[in-house]
Amino acid sequence: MFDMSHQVWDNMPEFGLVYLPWSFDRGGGGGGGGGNPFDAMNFLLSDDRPYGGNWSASSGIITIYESSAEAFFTSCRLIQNSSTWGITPAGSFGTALVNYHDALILQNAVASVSPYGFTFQEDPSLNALKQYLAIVAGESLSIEGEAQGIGSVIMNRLKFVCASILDENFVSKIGGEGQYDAIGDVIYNDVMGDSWEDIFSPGYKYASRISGASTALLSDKDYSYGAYFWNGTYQYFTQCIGFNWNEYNKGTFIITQSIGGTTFFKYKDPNKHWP
Amino acid sequence: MKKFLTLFIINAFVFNQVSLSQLSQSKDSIILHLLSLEDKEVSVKIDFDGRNDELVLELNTNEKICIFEARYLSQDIKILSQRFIELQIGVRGGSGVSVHRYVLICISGDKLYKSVDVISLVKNLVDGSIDCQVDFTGLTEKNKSFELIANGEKAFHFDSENKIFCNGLENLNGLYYVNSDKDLSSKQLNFNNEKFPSICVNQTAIYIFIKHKWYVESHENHLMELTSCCN
Repeated sequence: MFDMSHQVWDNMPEFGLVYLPWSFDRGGGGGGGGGNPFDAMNFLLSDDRPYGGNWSASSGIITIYESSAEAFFTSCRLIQNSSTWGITPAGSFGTALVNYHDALILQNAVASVSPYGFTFQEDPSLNALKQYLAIVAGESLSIEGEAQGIGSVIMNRLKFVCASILDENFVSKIGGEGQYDAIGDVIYNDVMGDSWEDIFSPGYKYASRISGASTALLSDKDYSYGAYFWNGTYQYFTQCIGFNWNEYNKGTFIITQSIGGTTFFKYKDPNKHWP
Repeated sequence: MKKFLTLFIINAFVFNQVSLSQLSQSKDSIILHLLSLEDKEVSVKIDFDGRNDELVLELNTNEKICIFEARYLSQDIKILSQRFIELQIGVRGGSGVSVHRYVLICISGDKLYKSVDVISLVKNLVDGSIDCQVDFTGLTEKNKSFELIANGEKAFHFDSENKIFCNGLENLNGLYYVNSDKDLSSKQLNFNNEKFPSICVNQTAIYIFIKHKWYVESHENHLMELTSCCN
């Protein structure tokens, strides 16, 4: 049922690995959270999805295996208590790993059990992850396939420049904020301002976009079919069509595919990728 | 966190401009009070549904105009000459591309009319160059004769029959393939040397008003409908 044989430590960070570092501080002070140290863990899990794995209070390593991408994302909901996992009796745990296919989510959930409860502070790279989700949500329509395609374009660009969304300034490595008109817009700001609980809630207002962005991030599949650019499809039918369609008309770009209202492009020259 | 619908009542006679921040939530509404072309006081509700990239103007439950792929308001909503709602909307462009749309709405006889609907800016974010730009800077009125000013000139006159601004007539003949910006659906229309009011912008794009709908003429024998219908 679950791939328990996969050794999650075999593939330590390369491109495609995703880190979700969290650090916990004891009691009071800023940050949300509270409850038990598994709050962060439960952010990635729910108690109504099949998952497998093991954890060790002594080593502090938690390894979780999901059965499918869908299960993984359905499970991305924060629940305050997980009877499945229980509450650690004492001590601390260091690193938690969530493994799905070739994607890893490494969670530095350093926590100490305390009767005073816990607060957590998000690592800056977690903000970068949120920014990635916000960009894709803002750039796509409410069609999961479009979001997947746009997410894959960002992944392709990152791969090309050997960067990852874990970099706080990953946007600057793939063209800068000016490349992404969505930055600063309503949807982008919504996602950036919303809690992780909201963002991964099944009823989230941008759920299909977030789901598309997430699958593009974690899946091996390139939903854009090798694209490095995208554009609204309908603009091709206007006469003022912008950079991407201009390049297509000049023969520099070819279309990899169209999804919903978005068309994806890559250079016709197979040796040229991006920019 | 649940977002609540926020309702703002804006009186156009006192405040003729709606702050962007007042309509910047994912689902917000405002109500504008203005005059119809017949000088009747009317109210128009504007809903911005960022979740669905949709801007809806509603005069009553049976009279609505929808604008699709609307992502944000690039400028505050204004009311020109107390009778025209001016919308400058950021629509979805693409990677490295920013696109703005300029829309004017007026009311006549309990109907909403889209007097102008053009792409006003296409900017290449890659190199900062601008593919096309039309600066709509105002509207003049003299005895109910309106002129829309673009790029510093009185560019478009008001066609009181169709309730639209235009600056020419476009002749269509033969078979045209027609797409819709709403769903990219395709159909065909046949014309027989027919002339329609049109807007020519910077000699780069021709917007044609055909049977109460705006189309942009793109490639040869190809029209793109700028949809207003909400259904």
